[in-house]
Amino acid sequence: MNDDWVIGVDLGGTKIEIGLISPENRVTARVRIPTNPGLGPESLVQRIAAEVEKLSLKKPVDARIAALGLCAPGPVDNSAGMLLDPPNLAGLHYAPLQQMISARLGIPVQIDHDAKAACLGEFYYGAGRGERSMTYVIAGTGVGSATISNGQMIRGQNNTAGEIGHVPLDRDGDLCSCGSHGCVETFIAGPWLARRYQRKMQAANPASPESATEKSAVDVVDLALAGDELARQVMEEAGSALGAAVATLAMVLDVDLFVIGGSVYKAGDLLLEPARRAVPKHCYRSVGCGVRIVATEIGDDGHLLGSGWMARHALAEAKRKSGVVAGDSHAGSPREVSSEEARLEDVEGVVFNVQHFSVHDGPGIRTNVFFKGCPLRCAWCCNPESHRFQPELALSSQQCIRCGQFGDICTDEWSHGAVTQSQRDKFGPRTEVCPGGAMRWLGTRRTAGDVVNEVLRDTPFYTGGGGMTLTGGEPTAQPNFAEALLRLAKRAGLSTAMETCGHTRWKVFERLLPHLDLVLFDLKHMDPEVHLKWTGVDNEVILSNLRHMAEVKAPVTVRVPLIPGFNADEKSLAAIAHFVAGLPGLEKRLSLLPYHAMGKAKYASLGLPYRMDGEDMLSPERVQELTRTLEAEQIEVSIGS
Amino acid sequence: MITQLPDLKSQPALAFPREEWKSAAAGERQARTRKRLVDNAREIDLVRARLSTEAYRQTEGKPMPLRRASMLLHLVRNMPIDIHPDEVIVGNRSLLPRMGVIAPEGAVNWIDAELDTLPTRPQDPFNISASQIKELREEIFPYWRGSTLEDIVEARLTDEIKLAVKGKAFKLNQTDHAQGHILPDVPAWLRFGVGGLRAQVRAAQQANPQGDAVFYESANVALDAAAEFILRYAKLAEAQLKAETDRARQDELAGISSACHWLAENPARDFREALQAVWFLLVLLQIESNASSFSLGRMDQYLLPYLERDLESGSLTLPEAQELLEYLWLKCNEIVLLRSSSSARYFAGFPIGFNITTGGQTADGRDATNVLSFMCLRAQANLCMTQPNLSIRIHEHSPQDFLETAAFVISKGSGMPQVFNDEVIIPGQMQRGVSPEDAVNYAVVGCVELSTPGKALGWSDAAMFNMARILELTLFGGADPKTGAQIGLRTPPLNEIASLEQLQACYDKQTEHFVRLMVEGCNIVDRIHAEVLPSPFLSLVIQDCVARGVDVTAGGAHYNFSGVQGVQVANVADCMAALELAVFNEHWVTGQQMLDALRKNFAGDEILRQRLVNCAPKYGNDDDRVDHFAHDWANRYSDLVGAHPTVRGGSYQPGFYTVSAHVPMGAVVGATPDGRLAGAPLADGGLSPSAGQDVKGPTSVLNSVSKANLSLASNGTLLNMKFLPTFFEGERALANFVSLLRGFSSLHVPHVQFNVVSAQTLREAQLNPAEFRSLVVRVAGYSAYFVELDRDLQDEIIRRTEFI
Repeated sequence: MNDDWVIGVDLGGTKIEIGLISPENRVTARVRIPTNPGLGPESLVQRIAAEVEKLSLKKPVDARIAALGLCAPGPVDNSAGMLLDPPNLAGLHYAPLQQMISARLGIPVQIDHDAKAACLGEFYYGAGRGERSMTYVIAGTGVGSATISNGQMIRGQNNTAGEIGHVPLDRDGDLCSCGSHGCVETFIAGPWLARRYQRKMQAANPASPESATEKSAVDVVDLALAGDELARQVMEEAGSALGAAVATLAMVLDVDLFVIGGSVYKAGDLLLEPARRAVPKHCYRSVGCGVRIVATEIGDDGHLLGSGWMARHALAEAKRKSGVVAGDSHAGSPREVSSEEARLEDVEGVVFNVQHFSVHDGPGIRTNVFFKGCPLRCAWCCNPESHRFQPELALSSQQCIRCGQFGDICTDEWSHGAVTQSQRDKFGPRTEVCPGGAMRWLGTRRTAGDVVNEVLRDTPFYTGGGGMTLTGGEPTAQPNFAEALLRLAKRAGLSTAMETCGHTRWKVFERLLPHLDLVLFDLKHMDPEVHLKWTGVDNEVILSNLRHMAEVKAPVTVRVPLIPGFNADEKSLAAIAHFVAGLPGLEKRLSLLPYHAMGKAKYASLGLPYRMDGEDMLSPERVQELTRTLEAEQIEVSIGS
Repeated sequence: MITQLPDLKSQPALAFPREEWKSAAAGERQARTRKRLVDNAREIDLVRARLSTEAYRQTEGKPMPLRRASMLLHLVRNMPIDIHPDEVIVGNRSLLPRMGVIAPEGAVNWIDAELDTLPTRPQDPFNISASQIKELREEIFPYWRGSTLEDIVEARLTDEIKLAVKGKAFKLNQTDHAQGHILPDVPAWLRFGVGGLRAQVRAAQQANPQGDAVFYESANVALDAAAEFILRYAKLAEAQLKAETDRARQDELAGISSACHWLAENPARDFREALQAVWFLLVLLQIESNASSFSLGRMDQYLLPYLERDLESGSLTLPEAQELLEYLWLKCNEIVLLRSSSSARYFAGFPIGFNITTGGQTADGRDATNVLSFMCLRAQANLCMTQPNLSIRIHEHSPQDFLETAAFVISKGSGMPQVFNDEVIIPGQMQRGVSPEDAVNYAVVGCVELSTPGKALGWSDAAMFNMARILELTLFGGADPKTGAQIGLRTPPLNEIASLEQLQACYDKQTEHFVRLMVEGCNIVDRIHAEVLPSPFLSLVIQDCVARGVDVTAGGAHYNFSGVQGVQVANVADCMAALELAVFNEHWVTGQQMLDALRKNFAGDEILRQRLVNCAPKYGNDDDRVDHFAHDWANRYSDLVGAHPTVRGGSYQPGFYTVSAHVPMGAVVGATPDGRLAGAPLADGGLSPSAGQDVKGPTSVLNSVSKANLSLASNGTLLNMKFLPTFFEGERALANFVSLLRGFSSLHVPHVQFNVVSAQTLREAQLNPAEFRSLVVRVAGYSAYFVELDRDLQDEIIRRTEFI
């Protein structure tokens, strides 16, 4: 563990944020000063140095500030250590800030483009932990991106790679500040959200005085949350545009994980859900099925923490140059990307439950590990808390005792669910002290070692063939974590099973199958259109994966959720039976899981609509009738699991 | 289907084959008898009280053992007896089944005080007539006042002990009736019969001419009583035979008569006589002592030779044997114990403790399961009654079919069989000095107590020690928070305590102090039993008593223990963890604020209370942060108790079970730092988590429970678990349940019993969701907590539950 404190600097057009960063990579103190670029580089360096000296009083006396990282809007020449000509920073153009600050403070300094800094922060300290590749999309006043591929930042020739904001989505669209038309930015940048809303208002009701009132992006988000139809449309369009941009990046760069930062991410799922829905429309299915879109986990601290990482990197470089062998090889150096070298125990993933004594998902007594995040959105899903990839807040009104210790009553304030960042900020801290245990986080980041240790606690009960089942959510959507869990479980001699929706790259299954004793593969419908309508994706990837499973004779049990209105009819089931019967490597056996409304109450606690309202559970007689349809196709059927 | 003996030896499960599980039901005669017993109104029977008063009057001035034997003889000679037309196994200690019998030598004061409310009391009511009340008050009670067990105990307990008892630190048991709780030597009784025991008494006296002549004289009188009692049934059957017109019943009565004639002096010759002899033994013990928990021991072991011989000779078919066995089952429901209203709260619902132990291992360590083990399970499945208390012993190599059959019977919801674990109990018995061959032969007494059949007076229900109350006293410096009275030692109260370690040191001091007082109290009670309630008949069927010429109450048994129960580890652990978090680590409140909140029963402090309930870790979730307290304090209590010798030459041993005492013992404890309100019940069972606090399922509960060294709890432990009937749906359910049992076994948890929860319970859960938070509902592919589901869905599950 290194014990160096470092400084991160986020140099913006109007203000500079300077943060003191602890050895544990937390921003422990921060200060904001105006940029005033016109005062020139000397003034800037002087003012930054003064603030650094003040901040250094807030670290332990015996600790030292070892390095500084600074990020600024592009273009930035990171190797020369200077800003080039960012339009908002006239007065600082071509100033050798790296050398100037380093000379002034006597410590190593590194400078980089702000989107790349934020990407580094996210990759090492946020939503990208444990990944090998990711793209960070920053959407605020403008839109940009940065990508780390196999541990290396993609910079391009001149460190300007990543300007996704100016990829045109509609060549006949609005004129963008860059001179082009219909750029990504014109759909999702903050000012454009406000502008588009205004436009819709005027079109809908030109006479209304409301139409004339200026709205900010924040207002639009709040209106959308409150159910304003026009605002929802704006967010839906913005999300679709983001999805198209993400799909484009996925096609060009072959990256799966997209982390959304900048101020716009604070709209949360208002933006991200339409984006997720849009991705499959704009890329190969084989690419889209691996794409995950998540919100930043370090929020506004991305720039500072990324700059902090750069500072550590500069320090390591300086030590290397001066011949001192760095004692700490982790911080400040590119991540080891070989999974063989990474300790399996340390691989992290997001789980929302470890459920002991499960008896329906594989043989014997099992412990189910519920992965958070799923590429599908099945209307009947009984685990809505599994949809999103990240920890989220939930409030159970039944357990709320209306304590009032925060000045308001959570249940009354909660009507929209905690989708947005401001609500996360407001309600998150309450989980610590909620007396009734009503307000809680669903999902936590845990290491594979920690989870498997919990699973192993029940070893005495696995004698009847029991063991660990990965479920969710979708285990294949966190492939590194799933593989680590399975390998650790196998190392301990456990039986392993995995439930999957099948919507992932075949490559992921190839990695996981060697460590699996049983795959419970959901097959939902044979018609791609119907499949798309009810689950959010069509079934091409799923069917192809199941065919592959049959070819390699994987230990698969096919399960069919039996959903009234969707597939609980003779025709749909006959098609499924026909498909299964036609796969020679597969056992002629199906497991039917009749629809139940177990998850309904959870939708309310998450502030989500329940799309199955009004659907009755199937009568046992009806299930028996449908079973006979399948048996007519020579398929053996079991009900339940 | 005719099942041959060799098949049954190799495949004992044929006695209850899987395909006949679903159709398990009571036969016609058994169903009729069951209805008769259940419908029967409970009456008070004065015969025992009247005749024992007569007997004592006649024997004044004679040594007490002789007076007790004479009383037995007087009773069996003069009490009215009957044989019901449906009976094949006969005998009872009162004219009608389930009568409340009064034994005035134990107590008259509490009975006198409660006579008028007996018919109306909420728990275990009995009918009593005005003339009965008059007779008791005018003829019987006056003779006994001052000389009953109850009166003498009251006179001899020291003030210090009384202060602790009144301060509810512990409760001394067996202070108003004979103590029972014993496994008589049934195999010897069967093998020797009355005549054989007579010969043993004679031989022992000759070998020991200087021995206690009174003991041997009393033993002979007791044997005369046994013979006379059995013979009366032979004669009654003969008389009924003469008046009987039904041919089949005539044959039965002839059989009863001939069996009783023979058994009056001789050992049982076949399976049916053996069953009859077992029942006569239990009835005679009840007539002598009027006590709870004379248990039957390992019946599948000692009855097996009789059954095998009959099956081999063809004198009995398997179905006939099953029916006979079930008649004994029904008989065990005919005797109930009249308890004081306070005692009835601790032992609600007439647990008379006719425990039968099956399964386990043989002396050479092989699995002991046999055809009778399966027949016992089948009897329970067919009858589903509350007695006998059926127990199975399991171990690493218990056969899968036996465990699956047991799982099926458990799924029927009678709470039986309960399950005991050889892997921890046998080593635990040996640690207490029981020989290896006796330890492997252990059986269950009463509810869950562990003892050696025929060799031990375990005195297993000596006292209950209120660990939660003592923690409360500790928090308030040894004083009662309500009255301010100093009950315990003076130690610093919570507001003057700086660390958890210091608090634990104070609790340790108080615990040591009260354990010492409890043991002193038990010793006083124990000595008085030897003085006023010697048991000559019982002494005949406990090894070493006859050889040594010493009554069982005076230490004649081979092993002599006293069992004292710690109540409840779960609450202590939860309180310690809550205090650690809220007061010492995170400083939610100061010690003083916590004391104020507790004293006010959290009035105005609901936020604090809810945080204590919901945010502090709770025992039962495999969470080491709290489980280590359960481990520490269970072990500490066990060590303290085990260090004390009994007055009969053995040692005290700890148990962790409460029967129903967690309710009254909770009623005397104020609000506690785990968020429990004043007077609310403590955790149930003995080792169970606090109600609704275990939210991670049964495997986590077992993991939590297993953390203490429970081999030390050699008097017995109790763990309750609840399952919904829906859990047992599906073809793999029983096998999964058996995996749970095997895990339980390998984790060295001594005991577990299962409530398979009914629709009624689910309705209660709807009304009081907070208490049922851990109730898990399982359906296809998904599990949910019942109380978190929509009302509609809850109703749906209740509807399904009702149809199972």
